[in-house]
Parts: sequence; structure tokens; C-alpha cells
Amino acid sequence: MRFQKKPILLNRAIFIRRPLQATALTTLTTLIHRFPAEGTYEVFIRREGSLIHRAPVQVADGGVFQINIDMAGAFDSTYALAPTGALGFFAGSGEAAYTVTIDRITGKERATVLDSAAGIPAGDLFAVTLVRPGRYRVTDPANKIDGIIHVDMPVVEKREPREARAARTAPRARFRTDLPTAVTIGRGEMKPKEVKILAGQTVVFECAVASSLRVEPLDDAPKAHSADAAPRGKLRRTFGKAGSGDTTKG
Amino acid sequence: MAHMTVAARETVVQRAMKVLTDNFVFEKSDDQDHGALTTGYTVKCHLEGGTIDFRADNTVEIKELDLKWDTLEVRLGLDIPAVCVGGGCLGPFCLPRTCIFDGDPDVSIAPDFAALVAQEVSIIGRVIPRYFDVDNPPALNALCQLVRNQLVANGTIEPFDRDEWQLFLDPETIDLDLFDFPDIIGDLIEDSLTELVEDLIPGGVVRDLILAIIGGVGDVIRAVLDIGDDFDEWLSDIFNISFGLGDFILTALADFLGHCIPVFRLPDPFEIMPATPQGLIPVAVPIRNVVARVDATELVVQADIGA
Repeated sequence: MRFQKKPILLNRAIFIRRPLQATALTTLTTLIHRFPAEGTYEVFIRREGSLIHRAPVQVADGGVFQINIDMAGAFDSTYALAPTGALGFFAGSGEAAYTVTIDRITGKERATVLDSAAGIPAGDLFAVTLVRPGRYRVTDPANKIDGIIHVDMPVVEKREPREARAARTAPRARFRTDLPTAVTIGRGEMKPKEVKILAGQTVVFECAVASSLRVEPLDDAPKAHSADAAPRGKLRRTFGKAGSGDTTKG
Repeated sequence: MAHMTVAARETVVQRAMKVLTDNFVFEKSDDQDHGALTTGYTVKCHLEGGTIDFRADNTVEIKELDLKWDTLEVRLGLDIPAVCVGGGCLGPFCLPRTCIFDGDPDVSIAPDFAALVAQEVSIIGRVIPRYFDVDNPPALNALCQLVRNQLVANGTIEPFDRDEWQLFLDPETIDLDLFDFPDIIGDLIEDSLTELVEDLIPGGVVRDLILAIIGGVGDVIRAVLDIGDDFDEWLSDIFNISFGLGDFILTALADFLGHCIPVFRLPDPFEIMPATPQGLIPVAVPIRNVVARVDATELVVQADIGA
């Protein structure tokens, strides 16, 4: 039998263990900015401090409700949003950190309505997708926020034997990553204070107050399941750690 | 009443069948792109065995003709679907998905099942006469022309260089066993594809997460291939239906027997007295109204003589 395979090109940024924060948007973070008022705006996107994109945003009837912008991808030259619509900023790949600024333009006047480097404005949403299992701490000193996110590894389905497959009448239930969990950030409180999700799922922080959230992994993250598994083709048995032996005679 | 009657036993048709089994080779290769799935094959087969039976209903039956595969290679290629994290909506707002790998990873296998698949052919046909006008020969397909040229070149059959009556075994029905791959082949393919896909995925958290999202490699392969429970049934279906190989083989056989190689040839004019050493020229008579029929014991050819 002849075999061929074209290797997987891994999006390594997904698996980097680092703090996630709104002030430096990276892969696995999303900032959703709402536009409550109609008008003309201009968006600026910077990568590692350098301006990489600048475009007008029109908020008026006839626009779409939401546009998600991949800051690591190609950009549109202009954006048209409906009143109360939103722009979502995320990085689909790469390890760079991004910041976003949005100005409202009224005549010759400009007013900054979003400066992600300074934090998340009240009313916006900040989302983090957590991939590595373990515990994560959520902090925002200005709002006295201190919460925990527990990330568990979903169960890997075993391969079904032929008979079991044949006997099943409905498809097997699948693990889904597209079930985000909502958390509200208010002054001095995060509701709920502890969140449990499965790896690959997202926590969305609805910021009722301006905030500067930071989500960082704690060092007590468990090892991945497969780390203890035997290499392919090997049989491995794991024993308890050896003690220090007898310390006294008799 | 016919002026001439020739009776022949089954050996005449047996000689024709030997030409068939010695020279019929079916060879084909194709690839089909179905998006996330590519399928293809390279096959080559020949015929062996076979018995002839003259039947009382004016037909000839060839049975127990074995279709032997020299090559039965199937190629299966999978594009592994994107595996992404995140996504979903919260109220009116929808979150982007971030994909774990980009590019277009894929795997392919090309097993050869020639030794594991056996099929049988049976043919029922009538012997029919056709007139061959050397100045206006019938159009033949390329394969048939090639076979004819080879058989003439190696002396197996006489050249087609004169007017003549040709008797063909014109198939009425040809039965070919459907492709039926045993369970073991389905398992072999599924195991090979699973192992290849798993080898592509890095270990540790990455592997656990990918496997959790896709729900196991076997399920992904099933989803991409759009198959139900049994791989072997799916494989049989693509050979029988998607590839349509059976139809190609039946058409090739029908052409070979019905239009390509005659079982019996009668020159026109037919020489009834050869030239003599004394200088007398040969005597030949034109043959007309040729009719062939078969009964349980012999093939009978009748014709009229004259312009």
C-alpha cells in the first residue's frame, strides 16, 4: 500500500501559555466594541505599536449589525454598520499583540471612543478562548476583580466498534467549542466569580464598567492527558513514586 | 431453400473464446475530485476459464468465465476539515473562530486489492452475420482496432483484407458479479487512514483537543467520506456506482464479442474450386443471404449462392 500525507501546519499561537488581556489583543482574545450612536468613525489598528490599518466606519441605517475584523488577516477599506452595531477585533493567527483606537468624527472634531491600550470601555465585550486546561485568574485591580476560570479537557471519544456503530440510531453527541459562557464585570464584582469551561471554549466578559481585564494561567495547571500516555507502539505501566525506604531499624 | 449449409460444433466458438481469454485485457485509470475527498483507481484485468453451451433457444452461453484482476488499486485522499476553537454567539453578538491548523492537510492511501477480489462473468448471445466490405469497413473503437491489429500481426487471426461474411457472438446479456469487498478490506482502509491522520496530529494537549473537537478520527473519516457504518460497503458502492467500472467492462466485452473479433468468417466470393497446376483458374461463387442459428448441438450457417 502506498501512503502520502501533507503535514499539518499548526497555528502555534493558540497553544502559547501567556496572559490574555484587552490592552494587548492577541490570538484567542476578542474585543467587541459597540456603536450606540449613528455617525462617522475612524478605526486605527496597530501591531506592536505600528499602525497597520486605518479605515472609516459609517454607522447608519443599511449597515450590518456586526463585522469581525481579523487583525492578522486582510482588511476591508471601509466598514458600514447599523445603528447599535458592533465591530469585533481578533487575531486569527500569529503571536503579535494589537491595539485598536476608534475616533468619532463630528465635523472637524475628533473624540476617541475606544483605546484598547487603555482598557475596555463600559458596554463593550471582551472574550477569551482558553485552550490549555488548568486554572486561570481573572484580575482587574481598578474594579477590584479577582475571579477564577477552570478549564477542563473534554473527553476524547473512543473509537466505536463496528457493532456499536451499527446499533446506534443517532449520531454521537459531539463536544462543541461554540458555546460561550457569559460573565458580567461590574464595579467590585465579577458574576459569577468562578467559571468552568472546557478547553477550546470562550468566556465573554460583558463590561458594565470600564475595565482592564487580565486573564493569566496559574502555575498549577495539570499535565495534559496524553503526556502520561505511552508513546505509539509502546506499553507503559506507571507506578507510584518510590519512597525513601526504611528510616529506622526493625 | 438455402444453397449452402455449414454445421459447426462448439469447438468453433471455443476457439473464439480462447482468442477472447488470451487477448481480452481491460485497463483503466481515473481520478475523481469530490472536494474534501478524492477517489481514484488503476485497474487491469483479464479473463480465464469459461465453458460454452449451445442452447436450444438459438443462443450461446459462456459461463464460469473468471475475471482476474492483475491490478485493482484504489486511491483515497482526504482533506482534513478545519478544526477550530471558540465561536458561537452570545445574544446578538457572534464570536470568531480560531482554527488550530491552517494550510490544507491531507492524507491519501493507495492499496491494491487484486489478490482479494474475484468476479465471474457469464454471457448469453446470438450468432449474427455481418457483411465486411473491405473498401468500406465499419468504424471500430480504438481498443478493438488495436486488438485486431495485434492478433493479425501475431498470426492469431487472418488479416481483414477481403470482402467476407463475419459471424459474431452478439451478446444479449452479460452478467458480471458486483464488486463485493470483504469486511477485512474495509477495516484495513479505515485503520490505515486513521493511523495516517493521527500521525499528522502533534501529541499532548494539541492532540487531545483536536480529537475531542472532531470526535475521533474514525468519525471524521466517515463524515468526509459520507459513509454509513461499513467501509467495505461504501468501497463496493464506489466501485459499482461512482467508478462504474462494471459498466466499462461489460461494454468492452460486448464490443469485443459483438463487433471486434468474429467467431467465424466466410470469404465472399467463396472459393469452391482452387486453381490447378494445369493452369485452371480458381472458381469462386458469391455468397448471399447468410443466416446462422444454434441448436443444442451445433451451429448451423446457411447461405445462398449467386449474384
